[in-house]
Order: sequence, then structure tokens, then C-alpha cells
Amino acid sequence: MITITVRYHNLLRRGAGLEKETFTLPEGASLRDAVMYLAQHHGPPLQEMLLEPEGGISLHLVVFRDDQLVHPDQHDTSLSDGQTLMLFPAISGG
Amino acid sequence: MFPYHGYTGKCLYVDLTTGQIEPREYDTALAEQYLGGNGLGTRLLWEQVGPEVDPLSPENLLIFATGPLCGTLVPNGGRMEVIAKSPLTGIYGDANAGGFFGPELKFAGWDAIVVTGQAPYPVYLAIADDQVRLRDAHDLWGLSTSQAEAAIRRDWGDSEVKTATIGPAGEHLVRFAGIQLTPQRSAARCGLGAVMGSKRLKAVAVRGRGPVRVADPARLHELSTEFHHRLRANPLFATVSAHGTPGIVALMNPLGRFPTKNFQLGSFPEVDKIAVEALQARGLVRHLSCFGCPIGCNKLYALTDGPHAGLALSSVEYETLNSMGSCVWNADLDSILAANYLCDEMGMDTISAGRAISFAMELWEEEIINLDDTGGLALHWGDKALVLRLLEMIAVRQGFGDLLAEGVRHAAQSIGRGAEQYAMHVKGMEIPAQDGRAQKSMGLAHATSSRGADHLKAFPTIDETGYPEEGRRRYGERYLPELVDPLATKYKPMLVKDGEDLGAVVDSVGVCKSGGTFVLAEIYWPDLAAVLEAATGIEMSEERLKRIGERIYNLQRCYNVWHGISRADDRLPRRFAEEPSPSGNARGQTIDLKPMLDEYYTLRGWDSVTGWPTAEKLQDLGLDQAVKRLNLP
Repeated sequence: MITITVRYHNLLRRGAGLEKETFTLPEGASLRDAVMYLAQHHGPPLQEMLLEPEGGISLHLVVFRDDQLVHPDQHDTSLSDGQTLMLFPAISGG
Repeated sequence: MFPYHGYTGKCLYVDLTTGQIEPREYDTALAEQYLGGNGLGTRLLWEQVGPEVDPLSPENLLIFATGPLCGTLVPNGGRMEVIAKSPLTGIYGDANAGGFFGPELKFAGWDAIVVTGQAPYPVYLAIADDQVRLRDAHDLWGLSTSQAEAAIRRDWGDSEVKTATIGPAGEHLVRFAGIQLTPQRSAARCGLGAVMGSKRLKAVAVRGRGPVRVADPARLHELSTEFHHRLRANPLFATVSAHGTPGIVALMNPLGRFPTKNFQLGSFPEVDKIAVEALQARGLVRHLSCFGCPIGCNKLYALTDGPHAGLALSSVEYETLNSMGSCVWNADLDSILAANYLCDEMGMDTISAGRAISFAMELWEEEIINLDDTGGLALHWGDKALVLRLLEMIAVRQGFGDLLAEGVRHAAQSIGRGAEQYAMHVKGMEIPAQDGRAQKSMGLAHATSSRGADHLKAFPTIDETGYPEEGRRRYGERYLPELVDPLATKYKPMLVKDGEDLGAVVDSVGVCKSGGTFVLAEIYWPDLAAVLEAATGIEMSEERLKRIGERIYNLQRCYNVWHGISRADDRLPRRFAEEPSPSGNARGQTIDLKPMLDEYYTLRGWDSVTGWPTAEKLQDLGLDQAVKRLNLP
């Protein structure tokens, strides 16, 4: 098992009802697996913020893995034990 | 007879030297070719304010200009422009603000006010519909911006009067003084408050009770309703509405795009203390909206305890959390709010004021300046009391504040000793809270902006976060993934050029860049063309509107070329090219502007050696006069 910490920002924090949490996933789990786990674990409203209605990762979710921006084509790369994810709505401006 | 709707068809010309006030009919050709607002101001500067004019002399124009959508029911139709030659940069200058002043001016029956000359004593311009006069402002001189507004309202016995006021910073000709528009919205950049101060014009006060007539009310209603629905259906509407621009603070930090310690870093270790969650927990009172805005990104904050208890303010933006926060290494939220309040009351741009202080702090750190230079002040990073003290000194040009009131370029030239390399500016204007190493399009945008370092001319929002949806919707799949990758340079010249042209139109018609045109990226060229036609009756295709945007931006460039600007000025401070970012997603990144600039000039039809528009391009845009004036081959 690997241990992952997730930090929620902006409205995602309201949706999750907490600032951060730590959870475990099987070895070899991907970022997509992590987001799916969180969506299932929390249910609505966070689920609706993390996923598209069809079930894929939201087109308006920005993910950082240890300070590095994760591009959509990297959603299936494996996570490592001890990594931190930061989740944001894909807002811009300023 | 002015033939179009959306406009009142009348402009007010005020000569403060003679006291003459003259209503003039709006020039039909100007409306057709430049729309209004930003475009109108650009054209008037080009015609009347040459290189020989000192920005702080009576000969400079100060133009308050609305656009044809301002004051209509089109969402976010509350923006207006102020235009003048900038005392900070010496070139084209403008500032844009929301709130309620612009619509009120339209309701009073005026599309624009063009001010020239210099009053013999302090005055304010009082506009009550078609009754216009200059009034003695001796009693207002020296008051803060909100005090001046309150005094005018008391004097008129009308709490609905809208004002544009300067504070002590404008009176003292601080080169980055701004103008505060009801309700404390800032036309902040370029030092236009100093232009107003140089004319001894303390305020413009307006009360209007007339309508804004539109060409096709049913079509305008239909389109406005559609825009409202689209904005509210946007998946990011809720978060932009809930948090406003402070909502991006925490997101910009891991991107390495959150300037810290005068751009030495791109991330702030204590960002959580100044992010929106902390800000709203500390003192959110309620949400506020500008005229006709369904988003309501503005908020009212109040502090009920601590050293600044009793402080209440609105318009706390991302930029100020950066300039008075991380950029001076300050994680104390209360002091940032106090600094924001002080700038608003004194009438100063929070971006340039904060950058002047972070510049001075870095000079202190590098031992380029000492106690002899600062008048006994030690300028340590993170000294929150010092920040407030310096702001007070800058606003009235006291002691060391007098030097910082010149802006970082002038201050660095005065100091010498290598200070220039720490002056973070382009063309004399301080760089706002983005870092071109972390978002390459923004670096290019800072370099090419017609008013000096600025994010809002091109406002490349869609590649900030690396997420494709807005980019796909606006430009199509073929440009992905590079277009939306903040670290990629490919396609970014196209993004910047398109943004500059679109932004010129947005600022000319009177709608908001945070209201769907750039932030949320819902309202684009075809939408604006359709709604403009419905409002004005001017036949407007998407292609015609693009040409207007291009014409306005090219004329701004011509104005700057006339003032000696060339490709050599389209550059960033040394730091961005030579010091790799140490922060977040931008770690190890620098920015090489040359290839992006080459492509940008090609896309613009400008000479890639000089950076000047070509005769062919200008003739194509109907700017033959510029070819002659600039002696272009």
C-alpha cells in the first residue's frame, strides 16, 4: 500500500468539508485511481467537483503532485508512497 | 445627428485653464472605427497629444470614456476607461474600472469627458444630467478619496452621486497615483491620478436620470439573457463568484507564478496565511457586484479585532495580496488589508506602490542603499509596519517616499549603483503579479503591452493552469496541448495577439475582462459582435470587430513608436532571462522572449527588426495618417 496526502483548495475544500486528509491506495495506483477513490469516498458534492457526469476526471480540476502540475495526459501515471496532491478548480485571472 | 444607439451621442469637452465647458456631438466615424472607451481615447491622444507634451502639463488630455455597452443590460456593462499620456511611462496610458460611475455618466447623457488645461485653483466637475459646471474644491483638496466622495454627496444632498476622485497621492503627483471610482473601484495603473492632480481636478461627480437607448431592445434582451445563462452554467462560475480574484492566490503558488521577494522567488512558503480561505475567514462581510454583474467578484471585508480593528474595505484583489504580501515577504493579512485601504484612500495603484517597496527592500538586502539613502529607515523584508509607513510617505512625497513615488525606473536611475537590475518594470511600469518564467504567454504579454508591464492587455488566462477546456472551446483541438501548457512557448504569440485585440474591444465597449470575456472565457468575438450590433445598430461582423480591435492596438503602438518605442523596449528585466525560477512548477525555467517576439511581430504585420508596424499593415487598417506621421518606408 502507498500513503497519499491530499490538500483541497477553494470550493473543493467546502465540498470535502476538510482542508486535507491522508489515505492509502494499492501499490501502482494512479492519480486517476486517487481521484476516483476520493470521489467515491466523499460522494456529492465533492464527487461532482472531481468528476464529469460521465465519470471521467473533471475537465475543470487542476492537480499538482508535489508542486508539479499534472497534465491531463499524465492522469494514469503511478503515484509513489508519501506524495502530496493539491486539488484546485481550474480558475484563472489576475 | 449622431445615428447610432448605445451611445448618448454627446461628449463633454472641459478646458480647465479657461473654465470653458463645451458639449460636442460624438464623431460618427470614431464610433464606427474605434467604438468608444479605450479606442476613443487612443484616437484622441494620437490626434492631440504629441511627444512634446509633458504628461503633467496642461496640454495633456485626461479622458473619461464609456463604451456603447456601458449602462445597458448586457452582463458586466459597468466598465469605463480613463486615458492620458502616462507620467509613469511617458507613453500611452490607460486604466479601466468597474463600479457605477461609467453607467451614471451615460444616464446623465454623456459618452465621454475630455479634460484639458489646468485650473488656477482646485476644482471639481459637477455633472447633473445636462447641467455641468466647475466648482471650487479648496475644501476637498487634501481629503482622502472616500472623504472627498462623502463631502460631495453631503454637499449635493444626494447619496446616489457617483464620483471619480483623487487622493493626496494624485495631488502630490505620485507617478503611480490612481483614480477611485464609486464605490472605491480603482482606475489604478499608469499614474493617471497624477495627471488629474496636475490639472488641479480633485473629482468628477455625476448624477444622471436618463436612459441608454439601444437599437434592438428585443435582440439585446435575448442576447443578454443568453449570456447570463451561459455565465451561470459555466462550471467555474460558482468558485469565481464565491472568491473573486483572491481565489487564485493558492493556485498560482505551486505554479511558481506568485512573485515573492521582488520576483526572486515564484512561491511564498506562507501562502496559506494570505490565501482566500484565510482572507474570508478573517473578515468577509458580504459579496458585492458592480453594475449589471451576475458574478459579484467584489467582497466587503471588515476587521473587528487586532491592531486594525474597525477597518472596512472592498476590492481586495489577488494583485494586492501579492504586492503587499508575498512580494514584500509579508504574511500578515491584517497589514495587507491596511495597506490596501491606505492605497485606496490615498489614491495609489497597489501594484506599483508595492513593487516600489519590494524594489527598495531588495536594494537594502543587496546593500545598494543604506540609512543615508533612506533617511534612517531600515528596509527589512517582511516589516509590515514599515510597509504602511512607506505608503504614507510615498503618498505625500515625504523623505525617502519622494524617491519611490517616482516609480522604480526613475528611482533606479536616480540611485544608480546597479539599482536598475532590481527595478522590475517594462517601459517604466511595474510588473504585476505574474512571472513569465512560470507562464510564458504572460512574459510575452508583459513585454508587448502598450501601456508597459501589464497582464490585462493580452490577459492570457487560458494557459494559466494547463487545463485544456477553455483553450479547446476558444481555439480548437488543433492547438492542444501546447497552447494550454503554461511552460510552452508554441502558439503563445497567437494567444497574446488575439487577447490584445479582443481586450482592446472589451475596453472600448464597456464590459469586464473578469466577467466572461477572459476569466471564464465564455464571451468571445461572435458574441461581442452580435451584442454590439443589437445595442448600436452598427452592422457588425466578427471580422469587422477583429479589425477594429487590431486597429486600436496598432494605433496604440503607433503612439508609442511616435514617442520613441521600438523592439528594444519590448523586453523583460534581466532576472527573467538569466535567473532560473527556483519555485514550484517553474523550477529551473527562464524565459527566452526572442522567438516568441519574432513570431508575434510576424503575426502583427510589424517589422521584426524595429518592432514598428509596417506601412502595409497600417494602410490595411485605414491608418494611412500614421504611416505619414511616423515616416514609415
